[in-house]
Amino acid sequence: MASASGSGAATGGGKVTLTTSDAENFVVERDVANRSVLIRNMLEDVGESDQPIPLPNVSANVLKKVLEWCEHHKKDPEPIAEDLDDNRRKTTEISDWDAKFIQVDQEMLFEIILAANYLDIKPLLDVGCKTVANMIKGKQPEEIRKL
Amino acid sequence: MSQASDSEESSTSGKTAEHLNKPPAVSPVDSLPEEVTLVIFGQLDYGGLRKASAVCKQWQALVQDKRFDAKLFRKKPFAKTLAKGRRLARHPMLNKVDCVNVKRDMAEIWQYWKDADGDSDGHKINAFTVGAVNDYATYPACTKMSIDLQCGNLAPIAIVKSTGVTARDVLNAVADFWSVPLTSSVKTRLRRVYGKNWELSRIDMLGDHRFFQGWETPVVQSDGSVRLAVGFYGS
Repeated sequence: MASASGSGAATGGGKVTLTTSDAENFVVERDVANRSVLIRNMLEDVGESDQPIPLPNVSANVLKKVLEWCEHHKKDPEPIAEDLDDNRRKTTEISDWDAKFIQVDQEMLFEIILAANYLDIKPLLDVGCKTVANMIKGKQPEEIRKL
Repeated sequence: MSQASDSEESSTSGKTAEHLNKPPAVSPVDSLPEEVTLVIFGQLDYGGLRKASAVCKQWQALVQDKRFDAKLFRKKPFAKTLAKGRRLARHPMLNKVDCVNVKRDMAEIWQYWKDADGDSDGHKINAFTVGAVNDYATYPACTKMSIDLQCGNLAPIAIVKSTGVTARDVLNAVADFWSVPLTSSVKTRLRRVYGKNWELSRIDMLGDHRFFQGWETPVVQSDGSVRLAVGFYGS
């Protein structure tokens, strides 16, 4: 067990600094940052440190949006183990809050998806992918090409 | 014309017109990495996946991924027999074809959509010309099927195919069923109803209730065969 005396990035209730590709710093609660499996693993690897975590693939406007999602979902239970047959997995509904959250222009939608993929935030990736899937369902192939 | 093409000509060397006539090799949605596109595809049903596969070459290739085999009725029959009473998924094409009017070379599917102005439009395609007709008729695929068209007391059609019963097999069997000549006793009986000038066929045995309303859910029988039955006919 690591000692709990530190007050840096690694402590449960502490704060974490994230640095975006455009060099903006975001200071967030560890619970919020932990929604990202990538960040959580990084924090575990570096141990207790006040060093900012660089996120070279995410810009400030996208990270702001992603953190808004993480903040709202910070108390969500850990997702249960991956359903092996994900092809047959029930297509669950998007919650009202998520549906409203994901009402963004298409460019931002794709940016959020890319960020969720990079940061490894599976539930957010699912929300984004479901939204794109719904766009595909309502369109002809020619229209999809124009997306 | 010259005005519109001015800006194009400065950057390209006359390839524009040709380019416009061809579907793009890459869709802009393809800026997403493959693993993400596969997650999106995982949210699509049969129709959505077929559509995605028509969007561009890259997507067509991704839809080939075996994780979509079940949803796309491409999964070969299992070696083990199917459990009695199991309800199988039925290929969506089968309910789109009017199964009372199927012939060996023609099974009509009407397709409707809304155009940009919100008007409904539609056209007819022949199911036999669509690639989907070669998909398995059910998921899981079966090797023995009995098709009951609920026509008088005529016996169900039996199909046995070790490589798996396809949608085409079902449509062909149905076409053959309707084309069997009537026995003379049935003919005599129907003559009284339809008159002597009517060209009688098995379809007339359905009487006024001859409007196909869809198939029931396929169910595995005690002998391991899958029963596919017409629900009821409308009038």
